[in-house]
Amino acid sequence: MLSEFEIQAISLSLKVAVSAVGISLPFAILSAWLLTRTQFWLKPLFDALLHLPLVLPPVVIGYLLLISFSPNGFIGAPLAKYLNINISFSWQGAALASAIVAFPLMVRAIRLSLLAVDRNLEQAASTLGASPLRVFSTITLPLMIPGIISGVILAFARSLGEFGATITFVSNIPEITRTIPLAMYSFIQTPGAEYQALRLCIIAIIIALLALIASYWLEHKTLQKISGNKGL
Amino acid sequence: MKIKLNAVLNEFELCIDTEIADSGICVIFGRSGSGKTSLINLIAGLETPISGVISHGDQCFYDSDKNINLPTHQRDIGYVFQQARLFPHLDVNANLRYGYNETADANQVLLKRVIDLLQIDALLKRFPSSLSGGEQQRVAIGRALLKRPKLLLMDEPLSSLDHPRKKELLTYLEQLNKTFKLPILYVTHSLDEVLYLADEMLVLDQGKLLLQGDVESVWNHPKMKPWLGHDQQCALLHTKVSAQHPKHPLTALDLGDGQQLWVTTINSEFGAPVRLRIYAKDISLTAEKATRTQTSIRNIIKACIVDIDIQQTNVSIKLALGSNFLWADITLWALEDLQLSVGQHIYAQIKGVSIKNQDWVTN
Repeated sequence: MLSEFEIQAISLSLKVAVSAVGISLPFAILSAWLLTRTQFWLKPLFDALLHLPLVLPPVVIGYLLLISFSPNGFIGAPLAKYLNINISFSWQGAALASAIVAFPLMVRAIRLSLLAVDRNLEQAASTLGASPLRVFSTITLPLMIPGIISGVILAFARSLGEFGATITFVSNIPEITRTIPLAMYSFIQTPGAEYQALRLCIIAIIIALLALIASYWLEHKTLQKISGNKGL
Repeated sequence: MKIKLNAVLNEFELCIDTEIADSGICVIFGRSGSGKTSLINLIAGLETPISGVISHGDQCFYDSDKNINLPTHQRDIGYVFQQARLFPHLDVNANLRYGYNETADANQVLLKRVIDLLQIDALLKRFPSSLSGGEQQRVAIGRALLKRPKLLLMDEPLSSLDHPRKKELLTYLEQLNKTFKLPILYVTHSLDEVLYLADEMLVLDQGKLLLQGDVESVWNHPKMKPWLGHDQQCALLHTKVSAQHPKHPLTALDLGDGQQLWVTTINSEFGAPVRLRIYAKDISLTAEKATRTQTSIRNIIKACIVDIDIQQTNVSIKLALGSNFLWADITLWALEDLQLSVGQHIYAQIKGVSIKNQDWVTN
């Protein structure tokens, strides 16, 4: 069926994408909340910075990560010195690159769902004695779930497809940073490896389709629950 | 409860300085945009005044001098909104229990009572979207009650319902006040709801307190006239059931001065208080009392003219009978021919059939 090489690339890709989504989700919810529910002086700048990865060439992001997270970089140096962490040229670095590139997509989806939450319901909850934190966790967050799911799926798909920032930041090291797109790139560069490239191409399509189907299913299910049609 | 506040609303300033009884139903009445909803939002803490004091019982909600502004979730209030605002992702049971403190309710006495009173037992497993408007509002009321508030705020809770549902929910609300002995501040612009529910009444106009007092005195106050509408001029009377007719489906109400008013049957025991409204257009005046074999009108009541208000097209005559008042609309022509004056005694004729079911309520 799948060659060992393919299995490696797939599992690495999934590991990178899942971690990228996992780390960015809490920050994405927080950012969406800051953007929709608060007013602060630097908000336009914050908004612009947040959306920057969407419009910047991924290579630029990879390059910026490289100069800041390398063992001599202004973030990488203290990380290496005090915490003995070095994420450049590792799968964690690939996850960070994917997370940054996918972040604006996730925030946008979550922000839309937060905007759609009926503030009247939050008011009602507070008159029932719920503290702001309880209102958020029991009313706001559950009502945002469809948006969170679509944000997660979008970010997951974007992470799976990440190429430019990854190859610039963590290079294309077999077994360590060679995700599906990077593996494909390597095959395309190698004369006579068209068949392997095609196989990876089909695998990528299958993963993407599965992710889409999963998202539709989840979204349908939660929407049904929120609108209350039979619920369970 | 004590309310003294200044707040800026969209178009005007809200200035209130008053005390409201800590029991019964107090209706806040006024046109839309008069500031009634803002007033209870300020009490709930959903809006913030510029200055003033709001306190209920021993809890101070807001005091600008002492820098107190209790957040909504710490105020001992329940709030029933115009729309039910049930949480769509929770079933009825979870909605009911959202503000409910299980440990404070040994053996779930309160829970059972609320479910019983509002008859929502069969709805518990359903989700809000599958409920009718009336059912949703019942659940919303139950949810607010289960929080054990010390004050219940209601913002036109019936206005989103159709007429039969309104009537149904009104009976629940009446029982609610009797069963739970909970002070209720009830915002409405419907005179029917005032008639049914109010003990005390506050009239707001442009953010100012226009009138306040018990319902009868506010309702019959001359300043209330513009609110009652041109052909809706009516007086509110406080009466008691004094007799049932042996042969016909009629009930006699004691007007307080020994005189009786016959209306279609009210199924209440002797002595039960009845609040009644009589429209000014349904009353005619006569100088001499006809006997019951001469006229079809059963109610010919002796009253004293206390006020004559001449308007462009007609004349409103205010009549006193015992502690009650009546308004009668007559033409200018009739006024001249009858030569009526303040202090004069006259007979008011009221057709018994003009008093309909929706015009009275028993307490």
